[in-house]
Amino acid sequence: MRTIRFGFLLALATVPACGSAVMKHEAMAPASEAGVLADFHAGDVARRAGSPAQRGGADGGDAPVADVRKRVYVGEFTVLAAQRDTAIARFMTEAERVGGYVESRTDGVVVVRVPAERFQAIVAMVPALGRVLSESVRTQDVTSEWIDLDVRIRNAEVARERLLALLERATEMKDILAIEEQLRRVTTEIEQMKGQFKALEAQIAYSRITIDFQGQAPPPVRRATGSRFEWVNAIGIEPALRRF
Amino acid sequence: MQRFTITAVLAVVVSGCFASSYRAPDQFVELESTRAGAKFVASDDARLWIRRFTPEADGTLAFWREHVRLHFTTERGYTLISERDVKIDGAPGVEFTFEATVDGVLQRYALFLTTESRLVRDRVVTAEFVGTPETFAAHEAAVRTALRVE
Repeated sequence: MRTIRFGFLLALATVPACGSAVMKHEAMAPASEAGVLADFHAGDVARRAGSPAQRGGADGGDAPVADVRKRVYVGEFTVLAAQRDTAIARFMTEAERVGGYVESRTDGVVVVRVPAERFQAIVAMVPALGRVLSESVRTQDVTSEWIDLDVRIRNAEVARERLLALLERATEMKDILAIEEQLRRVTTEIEQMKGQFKALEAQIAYSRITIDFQGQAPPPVRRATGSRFEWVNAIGIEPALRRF
Repeated sequence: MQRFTITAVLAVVVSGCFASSYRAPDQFVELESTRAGAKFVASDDARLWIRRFTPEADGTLAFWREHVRLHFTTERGYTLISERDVKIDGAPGVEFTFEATVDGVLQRYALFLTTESRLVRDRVVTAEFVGTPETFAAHEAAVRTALRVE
């Protein structure tokens, strides 16, 4: 009978995201476990509802899930620069100046990450690097994904706590082995989800800007004698440098 | 005698108009200012040259815009970086940005172009801003402010 009860609790403890399943098992649970299950279920439902007040109840008063929208900004450009290496160096320097970093550079394709609050400033300076041949700026709202991951992690952590509690109470080797197996599985899931969450947070905090720099060596400057109009021949870089 | 005096005063006023119409951008000094134009230079050698021309033929701003773009890109080998409609001191104009390597050094060149209505023939007013990409970037905002570019 004890083994059956542990097996039953084990099954419940490892399905934190399945609210309807918990409801069914709770109805069938022996009276002695009803309190534990009720707490477990209440916490799970509250977290799934996602309201800050409800979330605080079962988890010890954690911060609200998301007070603001979570967005990922991505910019992609193709820039024609007369001096490609100089333009690339300027871009990377500017990204680092605002607290960003160079994620990769392959030939003329440079990918940088910049703090999200500086994304617009860096995008605005792209035309200064050369002639912009193509431009794509996208915003992805990842609020629901962020909340979902956060809730799943918290639920899994609660499940792990329940399993640990069950483990302390278990006396038979069969139960202990089964609980430990479930603990390993839940722990692995938590680590994976935390990794995903960390990656998502990084995407939100640091926007990605990719520029494909295309170099074009400017042809030699010809003598300014081509125009029929003298005033046009009189203007330009060469007169401004030599007759200034 | 009175007519001569009035004419002389008008000539002085008119000749001084151009010189006083544009002030030196921040961090620039005025090298020269005449009725035909004005030259300003920054300590890092970025240059601003404002000139007024009477073309050999009548032409609209649209005509000069096309001609200048073609001339610089096909005859002189400049790379056109950008081109946009602007207002220069309230008058319709165009702003070009080119790049070209001169004497082995990459230069960035902004040309602000507008026209002035005249009884006989419209005049062309140019403002040329030249510098290396670094000096250009350092001063372009001040130059636009001084030229009252919108």
